[in-house]
Amino acid sequence: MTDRTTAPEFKDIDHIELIKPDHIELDNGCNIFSFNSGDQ
Amino acid sequence: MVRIEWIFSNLRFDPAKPLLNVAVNTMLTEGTSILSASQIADQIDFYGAFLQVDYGYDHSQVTLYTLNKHLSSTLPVIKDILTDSIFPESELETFIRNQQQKLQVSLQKNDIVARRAFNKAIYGDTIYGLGADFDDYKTLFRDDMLWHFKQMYQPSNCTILIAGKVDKKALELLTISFGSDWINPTVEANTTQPELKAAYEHLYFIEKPAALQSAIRMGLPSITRTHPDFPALQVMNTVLGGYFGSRLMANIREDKGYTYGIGSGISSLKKGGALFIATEVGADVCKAAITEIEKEINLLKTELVSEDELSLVRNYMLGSLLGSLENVLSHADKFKNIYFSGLGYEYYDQYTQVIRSITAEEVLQMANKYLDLDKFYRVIVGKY
Amino acid sequence: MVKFNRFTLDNGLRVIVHEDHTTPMAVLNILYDVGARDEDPGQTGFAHLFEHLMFGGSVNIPQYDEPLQRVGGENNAFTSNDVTNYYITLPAANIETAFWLESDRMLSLAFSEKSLEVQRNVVIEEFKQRYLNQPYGDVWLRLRPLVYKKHPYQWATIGKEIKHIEDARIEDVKAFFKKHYNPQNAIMVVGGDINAEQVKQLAEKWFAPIPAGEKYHRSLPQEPEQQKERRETVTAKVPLNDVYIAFHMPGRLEEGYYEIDLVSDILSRGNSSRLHRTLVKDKQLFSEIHAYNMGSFDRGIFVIEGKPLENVTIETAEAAIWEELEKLKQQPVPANELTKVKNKTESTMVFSEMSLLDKAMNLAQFELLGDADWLNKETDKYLAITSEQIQKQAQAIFRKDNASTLIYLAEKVDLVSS
Repeated sequence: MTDRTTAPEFKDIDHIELIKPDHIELDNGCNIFSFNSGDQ
Repeated sequence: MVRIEWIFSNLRFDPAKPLLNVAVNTMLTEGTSILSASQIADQIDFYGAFLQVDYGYDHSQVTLYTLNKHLSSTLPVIKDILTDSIFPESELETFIRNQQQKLQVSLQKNDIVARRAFNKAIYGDTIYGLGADFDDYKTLFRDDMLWHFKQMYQPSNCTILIAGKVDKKALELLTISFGSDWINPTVEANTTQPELKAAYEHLYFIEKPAALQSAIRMGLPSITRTHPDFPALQVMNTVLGGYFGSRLMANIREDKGYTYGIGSGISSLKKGGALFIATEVGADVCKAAITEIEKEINLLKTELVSEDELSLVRNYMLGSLLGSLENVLSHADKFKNIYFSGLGYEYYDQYTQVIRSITAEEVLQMANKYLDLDKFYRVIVGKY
Repeated sequence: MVKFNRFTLDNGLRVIVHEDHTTPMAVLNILYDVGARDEDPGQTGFAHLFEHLMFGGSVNIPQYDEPLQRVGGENNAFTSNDVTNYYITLPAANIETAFWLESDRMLSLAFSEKSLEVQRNVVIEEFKQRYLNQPYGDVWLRLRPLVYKKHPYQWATIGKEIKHIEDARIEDVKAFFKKHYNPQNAIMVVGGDINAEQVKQLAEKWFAPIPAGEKYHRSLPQEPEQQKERRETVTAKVPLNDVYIAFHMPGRLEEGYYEIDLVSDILSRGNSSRLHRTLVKDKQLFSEIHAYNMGSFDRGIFVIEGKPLENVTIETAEAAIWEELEKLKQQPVPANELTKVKNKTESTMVFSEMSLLDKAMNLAQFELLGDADWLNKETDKYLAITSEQIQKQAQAIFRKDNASTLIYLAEKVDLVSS
């Protein structure tokens, strides 16, 4: 019988990775930041 | 699919012409010297794209969602909007009339009235404190809007974020469209803002005799994301009212049943922040609800959070950060938070570090430092 | 294209697995085949009240939310007239916690009197906040009974009146659970950074021991064809007049549904749509106007709602709406315009595939309707629609004797601005 009164084991969240953008600054001062997901 | 955002800092707030920032942004889709409002809509809708304008306290933006294959048809429309909007007089009249109608509806919603009164009290006569009034629309003139538009929507005041399937072609189209032939005017955009000045009066009761529920909004000016205490304060805020299991929800909704929902939050803006609690409660239990809110605040200032509760909040906050990164668009949103606060990615390292290591004593310190009930502003709309 | 596997446990629980390894998260979505339409007319609002009680502890787990938050998860639920849907999102590494929590409340609730008492109050406050204390908030309490005379769609999910919620007893809660909340009446979708084999094992472990229960056989009174125009006018403390016109329309699986859904886009989606362009911009009769359909499983409602400008009479406003509807009946939609709404539908489908939770909910809903794979055929169904088919459906729907009109007249009150 499965014990339903005890919570299953769980893992702490150890690593959160953020995607950082590529940056282009145009001559007119406008900054472009791009986040590419690839071919989703 | 890509999402492209063109983000501009708002121009300095002029109390005599308070609606310029919002009106210019909202009317960007209403016509250029080449395209009428309906031609703009046709072009965007035909390609299955979505075009949105959004006005915020610090920035205003234009957002385009489009399939990559239609970029070459949709980008020129944005270019035209951002460089050649003309705010046609007839469209301006329609805009003003329709906004005034919507305002009438908003002003009958207690939560909205409470938010307006609260912001006015906390932020004073500034862009953050503005709650548009019927008369404010009389100060809107096309010439002012054209001038505002030219100053604000210039390349040196623009940040572009593109997220999604950003291939070489997409980036090329973008840089060509918004590159060398998009020229800055001679005058730089003045994006400074006057200092915030909170009101002297701390209590605002707006009576609605027929109200079944009262809207409560209370809180005080606070720190922004750039302050080293900010992550710890967010932990404290989460304990107090930042998630479904929070103290306020557990007591005022789940134990007392006074409300459908209650929460607390911190708004972090360029010139300042605020910490607030908001809810709508049964009119007959309004006093009791406020007593309970204050009780929870005092508890947080006097008793240590148990390790059990704190570890729950830690895990919840980390899970919620992880869960907020659903796709590449949400990664771009995370970037906006730090970029426009002048912070780097080390902010998130520090944030997760604080969540993992914060102690009950530190939560208590945060509560004592940032929840001074004597400095609270209280707004009640309905019955008290 | 949303790929998935599916299997059914011996107790009848249908399980769908959608692997998406682009995210570190997982979602567990359970759809129960029960909505407000399954309620007793004397006990309305019960399905929704029951949804609240599902968070009040289950037979082996006193607290639902707390253990979930402890593993970094979040949850929510909604009740519609057709279904009740519960979902959890959490870090995929902790997916078993979701199985544990959801299986225990499918097994049995704690049926706590305290929880019932509190949630009755919470739902009553929700009733006030969303339906009574808002301008126009009571529209669905008025419009539904105007449109439906027999079918249980005549009441809103919140219920007909607060009294029905006040009267709910714990015995009713137990009976409702027994009747609707069992494996045979549920569909589970697990998605995200998980794999099919793991889901199968966890489903066997946590859900297979739950007794199958009784299958609920739905037999609802069907709504007879409307014979003549219906109309109700209310004078209320609202700031502006408001016009609602509602039409009976095909149900989610009936012929004509897709045509009418496209009609709502033609009329009201985006600034290039007909109602916005003609009635807000060109003729300047309304400050805002919208058209939408509710996506109901049984015969549904198509609604047009607009707030006329202050100098415009209700008669003029209504006539202008009807003029637009007549155009749809008399002239086929031009090819360009049809392409436009189809393109929009296509791109919306692409956008919704970016959200794991949306995908999970959609799979569950289509499986309930008949086949989860219909999600992947949805776009093609819209693309196949012709102008002639749209015209034919418009002619069938937009008739005076199929219309129920609800008018709000603004009672003049002093406006306090602040």
